[in-house]
Amino acid sequence: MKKIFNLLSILIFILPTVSISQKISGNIHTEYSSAKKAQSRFFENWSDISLSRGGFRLGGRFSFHEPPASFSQQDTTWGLAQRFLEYKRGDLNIRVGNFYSLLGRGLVLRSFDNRTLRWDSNIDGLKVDYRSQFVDAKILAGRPRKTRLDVADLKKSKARPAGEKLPALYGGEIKLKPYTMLHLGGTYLYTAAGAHQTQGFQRGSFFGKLYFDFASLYGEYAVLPYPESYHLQDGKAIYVASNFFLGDLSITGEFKSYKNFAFYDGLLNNPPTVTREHLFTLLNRHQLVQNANDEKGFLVEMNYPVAESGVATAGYCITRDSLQNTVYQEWYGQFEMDEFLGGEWVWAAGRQKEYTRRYLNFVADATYELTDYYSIKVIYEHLHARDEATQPERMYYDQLITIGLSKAPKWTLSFLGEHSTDQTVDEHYVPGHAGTKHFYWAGGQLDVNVYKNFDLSVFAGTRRQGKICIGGVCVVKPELQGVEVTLIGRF
Amino acid sequence: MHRMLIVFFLSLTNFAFAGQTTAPDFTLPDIGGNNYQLSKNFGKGPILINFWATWCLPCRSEMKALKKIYKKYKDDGLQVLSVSVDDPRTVSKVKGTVKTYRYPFTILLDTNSEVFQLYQGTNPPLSVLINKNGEIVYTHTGYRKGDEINLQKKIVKLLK
Repeated sequence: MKKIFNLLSILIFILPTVSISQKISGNIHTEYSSAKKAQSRFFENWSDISLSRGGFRLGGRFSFHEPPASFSQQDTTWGLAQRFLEYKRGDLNIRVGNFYSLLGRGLVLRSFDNRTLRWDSNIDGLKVDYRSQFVDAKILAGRPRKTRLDVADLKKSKARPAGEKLPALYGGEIKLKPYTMLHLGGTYLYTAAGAHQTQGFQRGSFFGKLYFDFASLYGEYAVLPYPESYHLQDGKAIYVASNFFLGDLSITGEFKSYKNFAFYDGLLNNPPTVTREHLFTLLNRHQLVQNANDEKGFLVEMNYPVAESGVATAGYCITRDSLQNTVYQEWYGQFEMDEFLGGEWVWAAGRQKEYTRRYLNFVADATYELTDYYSIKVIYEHLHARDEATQPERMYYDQLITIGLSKAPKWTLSFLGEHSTDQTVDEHYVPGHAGTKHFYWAGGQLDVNVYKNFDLSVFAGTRRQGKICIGGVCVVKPELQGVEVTLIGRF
Repeated sequence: MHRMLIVFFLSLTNFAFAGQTTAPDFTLPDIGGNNYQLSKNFGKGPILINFWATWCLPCRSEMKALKKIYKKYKDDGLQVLSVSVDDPRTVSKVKGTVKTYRYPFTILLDTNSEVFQLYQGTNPPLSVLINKNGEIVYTHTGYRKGDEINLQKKIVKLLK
């Protein structure tokens, strides 16, 4: 590790001189929290750098992770997390080293990086990508990184930023485009035997896309045959997405049916959740936690432009398990108006239900231009929750307000406040507690563009524990009482 | 810990040396299913690449402002590539959003954020302005009302 550190330090000294040839790029992302409670403290950094010459690109990621306890069980790690060499010529792209990839719509494979979730499932190996007018093809081989470390791994993984690796995988995708309106393709993936499975697995899918002026349709059917010794039904997954346009009315429909289809507990794949991804905090706080082993559901969403400056949206989605329990259900309505009372407005209302809990949401968002460069934004969110299964029936509400003053392109100063009659997100409920006590969190945030592409964000105050869900993957961000600093830069 | 801090601060020195960079080439499908290759469009005029997502609130406001800029300068040669970084969970809503909000740009789909990462993006929106020689002349992350005034000035400069 010491050698890697020395090599990296030398590279960092040398690379600026190389940049004179104008072929260097990268980014830096640092998050630091100084909090009262130890579990909320963290210090993390991701630094990507790449050097391009001709069709070649050489790059790497240096990272340091001292994550908050609730994000993962990962211990402090640092070092060279990723490195790659890439060659691109015309329609062909070859990459050796760490890479991310997606086959189909993620039913068979989706390796990705999401720093909000602290999720990084990159693959270390070889990827060949070819894209042309009539054929797109992708071949990959390598060992995926195990995103979440368990306790056993902790003992042997100190100072290993890349984490433990899962067994090798080999796969690919081919898409044929005989007509502009018709695309057909298939995916295949083989994962070798390893600690999680005593023998190798094959899985694959067929997909098709239809494009018309008034509609589009995507369908994918995937299978995962299990050996007899597993005593499991073969995994099957169906996903369909469609768009219809009737005049100005736009309708989006999605359908899913997943059975025994989570690989390594969902580390390798991430099929579409068929739920709505919201623009606001409280609406996103209670979302479906994906279980690709047992899910069936659909979504319908309609958008309609009203007059010159308004858009109305209405949506409904439901997910059930094989026992017909409603795992997640949502009705949603939103109305946007660009010119109302001199400002831009968004109103939204939603009713969400997960098992026995239901949440009613109301949101109002207003933005006013004060001058060409100054503007003010106010967002008010209200959530009312009820759990029918608890005795006495648990009821509480949350209110969130954000007030921000901005001066383009330099800074934004915001006040964020939350008031709730329940402190917990959804676990550790104490009967009789909710609805009787009041809890407050408040803080100020300053976002500044420090220099060129250097953005600094400082939050000071208190912030409640928050559940963050993206694409069915959820994490709980710990409560904060202190200061949080985020620095993001690109070059 | 101290090693990390050293590397962190050393890495900052790169910013002082960062210069004008050639825009990395890429090929992405558009919402009609056709592939679009960036480098084939160099030389025709400035290209503005805007990375956005259907679930991104500031992206909505920025796209409204970009619509006005595009309508004003498209006949002078300005191209706007609107690259959606919606992943498999939301990509099906891109076409409906584009139709409803009447976005007039070329809409590309970067479903696994590979091109977004190539352009060093971390969170949308990200705007990248490229001159006709294929060099990046301006980039900007996030959106505050009024950001479009600076962007418009840069575009006008490139069109002269």
